[in-house]
Amino acid sequence: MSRKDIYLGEFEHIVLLAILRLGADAYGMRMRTTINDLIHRDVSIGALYATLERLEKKKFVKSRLGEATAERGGRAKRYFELTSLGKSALTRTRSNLETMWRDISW
Amino acid sequence: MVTEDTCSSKCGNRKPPKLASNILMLCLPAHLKQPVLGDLEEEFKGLEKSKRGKISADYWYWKQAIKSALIYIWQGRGSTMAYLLGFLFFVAIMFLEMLISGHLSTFYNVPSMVVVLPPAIALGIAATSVSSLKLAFRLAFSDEDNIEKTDARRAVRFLRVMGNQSIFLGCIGFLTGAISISDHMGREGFQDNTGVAVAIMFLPLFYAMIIKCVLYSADQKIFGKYLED
Repeated sequence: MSRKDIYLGEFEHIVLLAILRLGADAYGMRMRTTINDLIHRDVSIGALYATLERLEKKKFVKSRLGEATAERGGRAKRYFELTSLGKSALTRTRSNLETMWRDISW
Repeated sequence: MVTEDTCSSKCGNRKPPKLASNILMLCLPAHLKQPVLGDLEEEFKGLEKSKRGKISADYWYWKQAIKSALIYIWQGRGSTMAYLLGFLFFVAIMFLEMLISGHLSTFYNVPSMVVVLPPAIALGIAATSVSSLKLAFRLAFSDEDNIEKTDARRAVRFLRVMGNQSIFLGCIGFLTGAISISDHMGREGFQDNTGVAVAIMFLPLFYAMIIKCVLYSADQKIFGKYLED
């Protein structure tokens, strides 16, 4: 893994937090609506999956195919969960951000 | 009376816009088709049931489909859509070029096409097989993931044979025209028809180049996806 691969971009950070929030129900549609509901960021499903694929390549998340339901036109869901590498990346990013924000007053 | 159609729309069971789904399907890599289209359909049905209604749900779906399709085209992942767009662009430029340089009818001659296309297909099949032809066109217009390298090689071989044969046939058609014109030189009325005869002489070569051009792109698409290490 190259050095830049251990850092999280802003949207990657948000996506990992959405996965943590949703727990066992973390799949594309729920992640998209969670991000939209909480921070009013209306991302396209394509942008979300492109980020998830990047995170999977960095081994920060892993995915599995779930059940197919009628309301999805018989198509399966792809569930995502954080790996230990993903959790470490989140912790590191949070700690870095907190350090940078400390003692800042506007 | 509530028909099946109105019921399905009122009950939120209407399918998302088919054209938008098909465009997106062409752009997505095979392993993302199920989850992405499923997620969109689930949210689309939710929107339809909500206050936003049918038109708003359709608009939302189209917006999602186009934005997502562009992301994967840009990444070069949806190579089928990129191939189709490239092909359409090529056709558009060809038409524009023909319109600028004269009448479209100047470039349209069935016998010249017959001299090139059917024999090129036949010789391609003769050198490979009918199943290679089907495979070549299937792989050119799809993004299947589980393709054996031997199958990809068969498809590429068919495209190369057919493309190269079309060039040879185009040259033969051109030479046949040149010989025929030479034979008619000096005969009565020859001067009046020289322009048309020379234009037709070039057409088999012109068609051959177009065929080779299109097949070469398909060949490279398949080679890049399945055979390049």
